[in-house]
Amino acid sequence: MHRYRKFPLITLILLLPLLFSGCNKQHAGPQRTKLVVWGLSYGEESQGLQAQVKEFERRHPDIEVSVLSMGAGGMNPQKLMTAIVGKVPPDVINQDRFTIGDWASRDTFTPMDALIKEDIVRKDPMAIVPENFYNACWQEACYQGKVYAIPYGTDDRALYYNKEMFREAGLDPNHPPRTWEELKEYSKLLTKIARDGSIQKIGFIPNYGNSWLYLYSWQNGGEFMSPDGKTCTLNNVKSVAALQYMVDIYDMMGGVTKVDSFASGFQGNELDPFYTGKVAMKVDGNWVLSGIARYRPDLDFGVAPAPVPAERLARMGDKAYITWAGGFSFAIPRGSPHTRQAWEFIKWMTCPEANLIANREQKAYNQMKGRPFVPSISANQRVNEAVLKVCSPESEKLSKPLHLFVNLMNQAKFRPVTFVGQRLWDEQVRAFEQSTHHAETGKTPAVAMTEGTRVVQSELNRSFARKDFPLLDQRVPLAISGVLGAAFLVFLLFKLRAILRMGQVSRREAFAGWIFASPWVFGFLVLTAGPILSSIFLSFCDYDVLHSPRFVGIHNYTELLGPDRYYLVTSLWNVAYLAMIGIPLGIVTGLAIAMLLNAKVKGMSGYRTCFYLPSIVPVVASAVLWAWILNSDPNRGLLNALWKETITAWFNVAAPGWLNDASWAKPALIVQGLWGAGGGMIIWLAGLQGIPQHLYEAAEIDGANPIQKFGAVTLPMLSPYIFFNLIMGTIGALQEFDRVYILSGQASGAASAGPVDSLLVPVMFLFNNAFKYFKMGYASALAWVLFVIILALTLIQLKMAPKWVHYEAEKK
Amino acid sequence: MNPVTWLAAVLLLYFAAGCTIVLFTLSFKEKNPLGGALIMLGAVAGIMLAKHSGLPSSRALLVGDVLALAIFAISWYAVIRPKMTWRDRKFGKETTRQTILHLVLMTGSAIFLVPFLWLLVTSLKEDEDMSQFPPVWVPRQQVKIQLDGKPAGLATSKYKGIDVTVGVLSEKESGESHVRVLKPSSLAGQEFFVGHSDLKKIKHFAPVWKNYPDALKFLPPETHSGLIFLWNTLILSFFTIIGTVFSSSLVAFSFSRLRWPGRDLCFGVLLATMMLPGAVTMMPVFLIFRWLGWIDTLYPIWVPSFFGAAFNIFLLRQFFMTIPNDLEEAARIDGCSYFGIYWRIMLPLIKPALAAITIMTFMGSWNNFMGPLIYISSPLKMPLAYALQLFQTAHGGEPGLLMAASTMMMLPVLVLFFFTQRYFIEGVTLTGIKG
Repeated sequence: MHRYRKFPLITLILLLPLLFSGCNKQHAGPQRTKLVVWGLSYGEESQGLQAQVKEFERRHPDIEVSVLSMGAGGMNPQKLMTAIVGKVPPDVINQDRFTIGDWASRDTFTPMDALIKEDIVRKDPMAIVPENFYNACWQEACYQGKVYAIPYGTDDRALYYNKEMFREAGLDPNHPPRTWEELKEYSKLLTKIARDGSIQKIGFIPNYGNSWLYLYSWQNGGEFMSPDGKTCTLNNVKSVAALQYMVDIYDMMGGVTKVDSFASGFQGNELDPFYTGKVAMKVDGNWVLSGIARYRPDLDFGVAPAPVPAERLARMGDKAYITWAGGFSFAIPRGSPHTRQAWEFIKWMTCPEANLIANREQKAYNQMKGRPFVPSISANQRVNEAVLKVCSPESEKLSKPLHLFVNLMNQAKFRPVTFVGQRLWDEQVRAFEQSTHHAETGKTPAVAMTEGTRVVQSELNRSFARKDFPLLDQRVPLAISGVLGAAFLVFLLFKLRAILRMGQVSRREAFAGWIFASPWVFGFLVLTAGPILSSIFLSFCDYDVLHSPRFVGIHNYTELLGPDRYYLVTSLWNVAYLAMIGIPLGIVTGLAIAMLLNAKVKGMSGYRTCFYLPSIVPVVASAVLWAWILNSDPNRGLLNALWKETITAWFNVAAPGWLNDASWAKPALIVQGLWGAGGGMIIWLAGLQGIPQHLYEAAEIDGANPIQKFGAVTLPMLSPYIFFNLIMGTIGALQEFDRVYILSGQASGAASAGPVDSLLVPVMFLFNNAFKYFKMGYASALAWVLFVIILALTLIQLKMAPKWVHYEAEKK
Repeated sequence: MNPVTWLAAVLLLYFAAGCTIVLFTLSFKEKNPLGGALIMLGAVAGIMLAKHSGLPSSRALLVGDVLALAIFAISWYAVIRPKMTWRDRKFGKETTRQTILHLVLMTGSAIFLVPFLWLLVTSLKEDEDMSQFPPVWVPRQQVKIQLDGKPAGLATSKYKGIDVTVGVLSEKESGESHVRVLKPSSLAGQEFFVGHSDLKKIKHFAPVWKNYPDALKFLPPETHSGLIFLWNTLILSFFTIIGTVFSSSLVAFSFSRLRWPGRDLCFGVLLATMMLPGAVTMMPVFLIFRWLGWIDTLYPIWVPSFFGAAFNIFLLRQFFMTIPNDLEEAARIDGCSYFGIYWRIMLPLIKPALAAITIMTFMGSWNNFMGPLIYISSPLKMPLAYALQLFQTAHGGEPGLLMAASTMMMLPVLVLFFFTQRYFIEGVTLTGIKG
């Protein structure tokens, strides 16, 4: 055996870096506790925040705060969930408050009641006093009677309107709309349509700004959940009427697709459509004030409470006006090793003193830059009192709205605290999309909302029913893997016996063979065979990683093929569309390019490079680039600029909305895919060059023209290559993820994948369930359904192949 | 322009360009200066007319094309053709074919390269040029001059009904600019106030390089201007390549050149795993890495490559199979160990295949997106591809920054491609072996 000496040595050398990188971590152990905070972001506009954190570090010299701003926090919960599940949670998370119920129900956050009580008992001056917080904010951070987060900032919504545009349209700038009916009427008066039918200026877009269905629904007296939290009431009559109102306004403007394509040209910062007079009214949050202060201090605008139904105003008078408050709060994820320090940090961040420091600092910074400063609203009333005394903006134009926003906080509604908060949000967005796109989906608000209700309700039922399923007996999987492991050992022993019976030379060779193949064998057992088994097993379980799995039988499958059929069918339909149009187009383009590049011309290698280059561009970069090229606003998107200049100009066909339009999103993806069609060129070239020249000569003698030559010689000879591309293309299409994830807006945390789920592909559906909702069992079931489909398709293709694929070798 | 005119103009343009090239080549072959001169004249006349006719561009193009073609026809029939021999005609035919192919190929290449150009141009444009119709193809900035010792932008405007060139002295928040007239000289020196919308900036070609440093500046400070991302990607690529190349070739060697009981069964299983979609094993594998405590580290992404990738093993096995037995036997007689045979004899023989696999693996790990998306959460561990996606989420409304970041991310791959084109192409051909 001495001959293999070098092998372990080399392995060791290769593994050394692994050991080193492991050691590094221990060497770098800091004396100060490192408090990792997610969800706060540092930037130019966060001077105050930075000062606030710095002051905290000064007062607590043993703590070093590390604020991580990328990929964490925000509306995309996948990262936080993975971190908590993966046992590497941040110490503090600044989390959107409406999701707190969801997180709390999964035991992912630490309850804070004990910490609060302890401080009050100790008479700590920094103690958190619940009464100091707005009721709406505090209630939103509690789940089933326990406090899971401390509210930090808050925001509420009101109607912004452009007085200048009011004057232009002949409206009184001091009388903003007070009722829904007025709002609609004003909106019509303020909208301007260009001669080619596109929108030039728009009065009001119901969901532009920040109102969502929630506000309209509350204004109309609708509620989303029953008080006991067990029933979803998304489709109640009042909410449906509210959604109908939104849909009506879109329809009045010429449909949501038209409005969206107008809105896709909106830009940020100084070119914000509200500043530039493209949008006359919008319901938006108080944060818009600081934007105005910064970018358009000269804007002539007003703020009023968001209009309510006339009937409500008549009934309730001024009390009819409501707003909705959202905002973020600090929570401590379960498993954080520094709960104490995290608690100190949270208390500091939400106390009046610290916020005064932050606001003063930010104000000084803004003044240095020559901009007015508008403080944001805190969830803590004491903080607001203190801050408004010192930092209220000087100009009345800004300070009056600010006070209006602060006062409105007392009439704030908040999203229902429930563990299905995220689902509820996603579903109301989806219902809104489906019903505004009624031209394509054919769904009325009532239908769309009922669908959404069903999804949320099934999620609720599943959760409540979860306890009825038996806990999985840990011995079952252990026994199964034990039996299989034993079987494998027996197999090995048999082989070993066979080896030992061999002659010396063969034995040596057999040993070497097994040893050399062992990396793969090991990898196969651990990373493929084991996972396959556990995946089968998981698919019959309910497992969210944090709780022990429960055995649910075929429930995951019935769920998938029953109530959740919509997703499965949509995703399969989408992928079928992409494959059935995309793959043939790709093959045709690739072949055409290859035939062109097969000609004998000088400088061919240069041309080949040009055609080949797009296919090596990293998928992410390509998707980012194409998201820009496919921008539906002809002023920005290259493709639509070209479209407007040619097709619109000649045939008067408006440019498509591409990624913003449900029916064009998939073609957009196909176009992007065609850009990389040159990648298959080399295989095609090899195929073309493999065709014996004498076949063409023979055809020529028979008097065949080029088209006949192509049909009778080139195509049959290339059929194995076409077949290869077809198989690979199908498998690839079914597993498509990266570019769809980016182009569909899922990456930015959008609720639906592309407009009306038009870009939901199976792997994305699976990824969301596995790593966003952590429904491992359900996702496994989905994976197996997917596998069966891929297998079936491949087998069908293999079966069909002899009918049309021509192998030269067979003839001989 | 209606589509028929447009199509006609474009086709004629192509035709004229083709004629120019073919005839010019022919006249050179013929040493016929008169023909060459006439053709040049035709081309120049066409261009000049198209440019200075004052006609709408489409018609000018048409008229220019027709004029050029007329001169071509004259030079062809009157000067070149009479002197041509049979051989020249054959040459002419070949030149025509070549020219047509070149024109088609150039057009195709242009279509495929335009997105790159757009990427580059966007990353070098000013923000206000981002949303313009028709699109701005040349990165440009306002011309700046010195006025009263301060930099002032040049612009055109109207003053008392006369077109004037002005220098902008200052801009006010209220939307007005204080400007001074520079031209015409009769009004020079006069100062007035004018609204932004009545002021048209004079711009010249000047790329805005600022987007590149800005894109890096917007990254969190702890990532050292994104160097951490690069470093992580390099680490990832390095280990993945080492792992894949070493283990795959070793396993493939064992499968192809060594006889051991159970080999064919194992190879059958290996082929079967290639059919398995990654989605099936994704969740359990995640649970394994979680159990190992490897979440938010780079290990889950590169460690599996040390266990060999089925596809590469298959590929290399096919390659090993083609090597004749003699070498191996000779080495064994000389007392070489099996590892020695693999290391000293077999590996050098399959170098091209290894190079191709290296490149493919590099591309794969440089592009790897889903792995980091699942496993990585802190910026200090992120590779480039994932960081770019997050950058897009954060700066979706700032195309300049976004395109600059994309350019920086894809540049290394493009550079690598230009230096190792051969292996790229070999690699792709290899993957087509099954066909």
